[in-house]
Amino acid sequence: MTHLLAFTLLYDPITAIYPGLSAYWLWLVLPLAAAISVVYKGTRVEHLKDLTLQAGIMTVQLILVMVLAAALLALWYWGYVHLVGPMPK
Amino acid sequence: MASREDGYQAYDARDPAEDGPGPIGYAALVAAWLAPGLGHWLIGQKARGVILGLTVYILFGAGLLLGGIRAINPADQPIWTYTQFLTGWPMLISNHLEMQTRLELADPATINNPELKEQTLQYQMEYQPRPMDETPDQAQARAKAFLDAHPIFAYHPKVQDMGSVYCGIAGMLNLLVIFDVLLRITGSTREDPEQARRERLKVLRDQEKEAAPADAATGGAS
Repeated sequence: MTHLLAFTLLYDPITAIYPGLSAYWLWLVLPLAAAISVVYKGTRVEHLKDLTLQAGIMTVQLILVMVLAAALLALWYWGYVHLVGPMPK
Repeated sequence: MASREDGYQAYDARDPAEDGPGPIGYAALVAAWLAPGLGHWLIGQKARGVILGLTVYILFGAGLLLGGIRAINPADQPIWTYTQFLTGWPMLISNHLEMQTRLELADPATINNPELKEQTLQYQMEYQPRPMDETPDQAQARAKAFLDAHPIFAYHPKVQDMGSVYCGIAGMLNLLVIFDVLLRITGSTREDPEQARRERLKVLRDQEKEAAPADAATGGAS
């Protein structure tokens, strides 16, 4: 544990104490989508009481579009590998 | 009071809003870059400023939490460096620390943190000079053993890249905030896309209506 003495929060990467976080890196997209939604809608809504709902809807929209894009890319890749096959050398 | 109806144009010939943003408006624009959220605060949108500012700060802080100081000025990805500078003071301080870290790593004897200094010197002694007769497998095993013992030196590209992305997106979001301040101080209004579409359709329908009697008069001769 002596190596942790050198750890400084916000200065050293969090993976120094939680190396397992690398396996869940894709989940880090969720807070990013939420922050983008809050700021974008924060500049657009007239009344701030609407912000929570509007930002929530936009967060879901962003995530759904990313999931859809990922599914389409995976489908294209699967089709390319199985139907076209590897490129001749 | 004299007015336009009186035929006297010297008074109220210009709307007060047309006088321009004024010194507070311009100051708010600079403040919006320097301290996210402060621009809105200065123009009276305090709650909005707090929400927007906090979100930008939290996102930038989360980036530093994930990637550490190495999230700043990521190597070979200058686009993130440019966008990170849009966050204002958090990036100015982080950039200074990152530059200092680079200098310290170039000369570990100058590192202030005693534990980090000891480990960095150990890293240089144990890991960096590669024996000439070492095979690639042996080098890999030695590197793995060192990183297991000193995880602070381990590089986790996906998480640390996300740290850079968080800090960079925080800057881009602050650019959006700066533009919002600009729109508000100049009194500009955003066009509602649905309203604009309805107006365009109305113009088209009116044009069709005007054209229809003319066609009827000519008897569709063309």
